[in-house]
Parts: sequence; C-alpha cells; structure tokens
Amino acid sequence: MLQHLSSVVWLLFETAQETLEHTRRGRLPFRPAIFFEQTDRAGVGSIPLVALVSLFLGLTMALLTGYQLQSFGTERLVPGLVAVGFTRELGPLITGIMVAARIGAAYTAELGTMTVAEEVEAIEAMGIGPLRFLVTPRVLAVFLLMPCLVVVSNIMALIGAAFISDLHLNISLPYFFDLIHDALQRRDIIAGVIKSFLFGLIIGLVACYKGLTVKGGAAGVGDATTSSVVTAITVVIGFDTLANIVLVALYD
Amino acid sequence: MDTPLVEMSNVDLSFDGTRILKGLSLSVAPRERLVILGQSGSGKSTTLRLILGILHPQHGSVKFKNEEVTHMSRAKLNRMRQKIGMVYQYSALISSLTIRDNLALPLEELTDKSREEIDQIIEEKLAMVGMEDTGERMPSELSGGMKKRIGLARALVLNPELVLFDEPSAGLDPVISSVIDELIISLTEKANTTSIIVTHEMDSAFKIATRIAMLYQGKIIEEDRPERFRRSENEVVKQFVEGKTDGPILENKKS
Repeated sequence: MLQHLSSVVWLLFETAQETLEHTRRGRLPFRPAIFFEQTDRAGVGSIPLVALVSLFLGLTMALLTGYQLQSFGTERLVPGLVAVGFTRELGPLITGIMVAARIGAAYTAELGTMTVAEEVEAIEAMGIGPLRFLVTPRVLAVFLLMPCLVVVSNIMALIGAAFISDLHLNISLPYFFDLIHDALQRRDIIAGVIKSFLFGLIIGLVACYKGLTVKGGAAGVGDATTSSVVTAITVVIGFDTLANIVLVALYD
Repeated sequence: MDTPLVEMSNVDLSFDGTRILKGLSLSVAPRERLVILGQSGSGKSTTLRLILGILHPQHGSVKFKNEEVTHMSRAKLNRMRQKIGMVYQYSALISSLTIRDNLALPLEELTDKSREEIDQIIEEKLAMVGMEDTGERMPSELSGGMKKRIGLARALVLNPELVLFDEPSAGLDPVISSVIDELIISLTEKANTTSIIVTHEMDSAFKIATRIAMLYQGKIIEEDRPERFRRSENEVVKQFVEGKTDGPILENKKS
C-alpha cells in the first residue's frame, strides 16, 4: 500500500517535471484539444449522473432527517443540515466516488490498453514524454472539473431537499433559502472546495498510475480497472477523514 | 572502420531474478544493417529497448554516438530518441489517432515545422511505404502488413540516423514480408540510415543483413557477414540456421 502511495506521488512529481521541462522549451505543456476532450468527458459527461444521484440523496436526506426532527419540532433545521452536510462532506465525497467509478475506470482502461499495445512505449521511444502527453491533460481535467461537479451535486441535493421541505415539512422555498443562508458558513464552502480539488487529483493520479502499470494483457487491464476504482474510492474516503480531522482542528 | 553508432559492452540485465543478458557486447557501425537472431525470449527485443534507454542495464555500458545512454538525463534521452526510429512487432500505432495524425505526432510535438511542411513530410513518408491513400483511416481499419508499413513510415518522419526493427516480418504473408524487407534495404541505401533488425525469420535475415549476430544465453555467440554466418561451425548457430530439433539449443533447455 505504502509502495503504491509513494509511486503515485512519484508519478505526480515526474509528470510535473516532464511538463515543466517541455514548457521551458517554449512549447505548450500539452495539446489543448486533448485537454478539452478530457474536460468534456470528465466534467460535462458526468453531470447527468452526479445531478441525478445528488437529487435523490438530497430528497432522501431531507425526508429522513425531517422525519426524525419533526418529533422534536425542529424540522426547520433540515435545510441547514442538508446544505452543510452536502457542501462540506457529501457533495465532494459522493461526487468523488462517482467520478472514480466513471472517469477513473475509463482512464485506467484506456491507458492500460495503450500500455499493453505498446502505444505508451512507442510515445516514449519517439522522445515524446508520455507522462506529459497522456497524464497531464487527464489529471488536470479531473482536478479542475471536480469542484464544478461538486457545485452541481450541492445544487441538485438542495433542490431535492427544497422539494421535500415544501411538500412534507411545510417550509416554503424563500424560508428554505433563508435557513440555508443562516446555517451555511464560509468555512463549510472552503472545506468543500479544498476536498473537491484534492479528490480530483487523487482520482486522476490513481487512475493514470494503474493504467500505466498494467501487466499481462486483457486480464491485466480488467484487474487494473477494478483495482483503480477500489483504490481511488478507498483513498478518497481515507483523505476525506483526514481532511475532516485537519479542518475541524483548524476551525473548531 | 567508422566510429560505432551503437556500442554495448558487458551488459547484464535481469528481470525478477532471471538473467536475460549476461555480459552482452555489441557494436554497430553507421549504415550497417545488423540482424540479431535468437530464440524467443533470448533478449533480442530487450536489447533494442536498452539502446532506446527505455530499459537500463544492471551492469555494463550502452552508448549511442559515443554518449552513455544509461546515465542520460530525461531531456537528453528524449533528444537522443529523436535520432532513433523504432518499428514495433505489432506496430504500436496510437489507436485513437488517424494514420495521418500518427505520423504527424512526433513532428508536431518535437519540431517547429509548419502545417504545410508536416503535411508534405507525411505525404512523402506514406508514399515511401506505398500507403498514400490511408491518411484518413484509423489503425483498426488496416491489416497487419499495412500497419507495419505505417509503423515504418512513422519511425522515419524525423529522418532518424538509426532505425530499430522488432520482428518486422513476423506474422506477415511472404509477399508483404518481402515488401518490408525491401523497404528496410532501400532505407539504408537511399537515406544512409543504420538499421538493427531483430528477427527469427531466416529468409528475411539473410536477405536484409549486412551482418548477422546470434544472441544465445544472454550474449552474442557469433557475428559475421551473412554468407560466412551461414557456414558457421558453431553448433548453436548451425542448429538455429537449419532449424533442426537435434542440437544444443533444446538440450540446454532441457538441462
């Protein structure tokens, strides 16, 4: 586990170094077309899934917490609970899990197939840095698009919660947003943003690392893809816990 | 004799505790067509990867144009690789790019050539391998022989001084195999390029080579001009060239 972790960190430094070396020669760090293709794939392509799952989770969370809090007459806490919960915790976490499953798996399978077919080695043999050419645009795309997806997740969860609050808890829409405004603090938003960038970086790096280290043909690609998703989700949850400990220590 | 373009001395390489190369020494002069023969798994393709600096030996030295490959910085290694073209056994074309984009890739990434110059080079190289009309097609739409010719065209776009061929005629029909062989010969004759060809196709080897080397048990056991190599008294070479089952190769494997 430690060896894999150090290899992923090594991949990050090697990729950064290779990209900077290329940039120093007055060239673009990578092909913009590849970067935009990857942002479209990782970001735009993930919106329907992230939006739908977050809407359902927002509905469920409001319904369950409302059901419990109603017995104490404190159901007005529901909007704040959903808003803080999603902004700070569930938005980045759920989006991270979905992106790891959808994009992480795709990256690993794609790079793994290229590795098995010697395409990655051919790129290296031509003197084109494969890390700069293949890894940089992919990792950067998922790193930059994660916060955007988290915003989508948060909005959709709040829409779901607003719907339940209005229908089931008699909290009107303007009152719902007033309660959110009172509950949500700047540090919750900052925590969510930091986490989403961090998770994006982790997912991108783990997926590319697993893809570039595939061994053993088609079965190897399958194993690496499974391992990539499992590893990325585990590491994301692990870092989420770590980030929570640090952020709580910093703010509270 | 010219200064060697490639010089390997006492190279040792092991994978997972298995020694693949044991004190390999090899020298390649400019404009030579050196064919390296050997059994499957004898380390032929590994030797090509050592020259490219993709693999690094545990011991010994690998030099390209008198510069040590094993200790080169990444930037220097990438500059060196631009002088070497590699043709892969299964072509290794980038499957997500068209044939034209595959050929354009090294030109766009590594040179400052204009779009017109790049297009002109691509047309020229495609014509050289007889594949003029394939530019807009994807690698998956081509046959094995066609892919191999495109792989060769891609290896030539930067006008390399050395071209490495990994099993260039493996899995091809005799006609396409001959086409590839003739392309390799014309390449060295017209463009003054040096070639190292790894194969175990005997007909191709004797047709292409200006010199043949036999790799066996991790080192070169015989190297000579083709006509002399064919008459070698070395038992391993004789068995390999004649394709006999009786001889030291299988006996050593059993033991």
